[in-house]
Amino acid sequence: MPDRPLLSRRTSLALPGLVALGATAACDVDDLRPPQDDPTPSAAASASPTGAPGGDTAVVEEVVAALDAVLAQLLAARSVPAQRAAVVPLLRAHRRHVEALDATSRATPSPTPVSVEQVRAQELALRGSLVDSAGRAESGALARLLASMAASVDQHLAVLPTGGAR
Amino acid sequence: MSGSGTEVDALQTTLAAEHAAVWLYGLLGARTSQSAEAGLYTAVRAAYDAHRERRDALTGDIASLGASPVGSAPAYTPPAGLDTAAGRASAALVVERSCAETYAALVGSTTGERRTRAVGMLADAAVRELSFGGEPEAFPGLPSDSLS
Repeated sequence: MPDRPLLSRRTSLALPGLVALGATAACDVDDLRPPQDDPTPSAAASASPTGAPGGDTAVVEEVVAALDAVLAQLLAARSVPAQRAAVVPLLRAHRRHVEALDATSRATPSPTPVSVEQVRAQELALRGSLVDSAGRAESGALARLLASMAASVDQHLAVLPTGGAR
Repeated sequence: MSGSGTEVDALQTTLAAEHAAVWLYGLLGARTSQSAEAGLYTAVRAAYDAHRERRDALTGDIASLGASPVGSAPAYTPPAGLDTAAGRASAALVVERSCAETYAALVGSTTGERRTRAVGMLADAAVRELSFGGEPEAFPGLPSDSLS
């Protein structure tokens, strides 16, 4: 089915350069780079033939809510000086994630202290949610964006210190 | 499992990238000392194995869709700067970033189990970037100017 405009001015603007569907013609290492003259976002997203109308709006709302919940935890974790350096990169990344979905975070710091290990657990749960949402997204463009966010979480978790104190 | 023409095209593009990645990691492995550059060698070897496995899986998947999997190119142009460990790590990082972009495109062009696999491939490449000097990003696999 033809893809509706995803949801987001930002995301729509983002898409033309993201798709890689063309044939790989050259024969060098540059072949690793996806073709840049690919179809429009709607063409890319049309590969997703299933999904209830309006389904992506719900998906985005769920993701924004999940990001907000994690941001609240991160804000609390950041208030502990010893944890600040560890959690700030995640905080920045998730703020950009919310922005990419054309939403505004309303997160305020959780009232209870949050350890780095609790952050890790929250991030793992968020990662699972992002992967699930990417799988459910009707729009291929949204799926790609959510998959990238999940990969971002994986990268940040890979460098997150272990055994952080409260 | 059936696949649309778009899916097959995206899978073929990904397979072409895997062929190139396998070739390049083979070259990097040959030029990296297992003893003097043990960390880099281990990372290169792991990447080589991962991409080779992925290449074979994609080949089978495309064939199962009734299409003829693209083969490797007769020759590839090696990147410059492979004389130093830093140069080889940099080349590997470029490969992983390029593969991540290809996998992200595959996510957008597939559905169901293939999309799920592509999501995993993107995550693997993103984390592997860290082995070669990459830093965590907000949007791995998406071109840096795509969300500005």
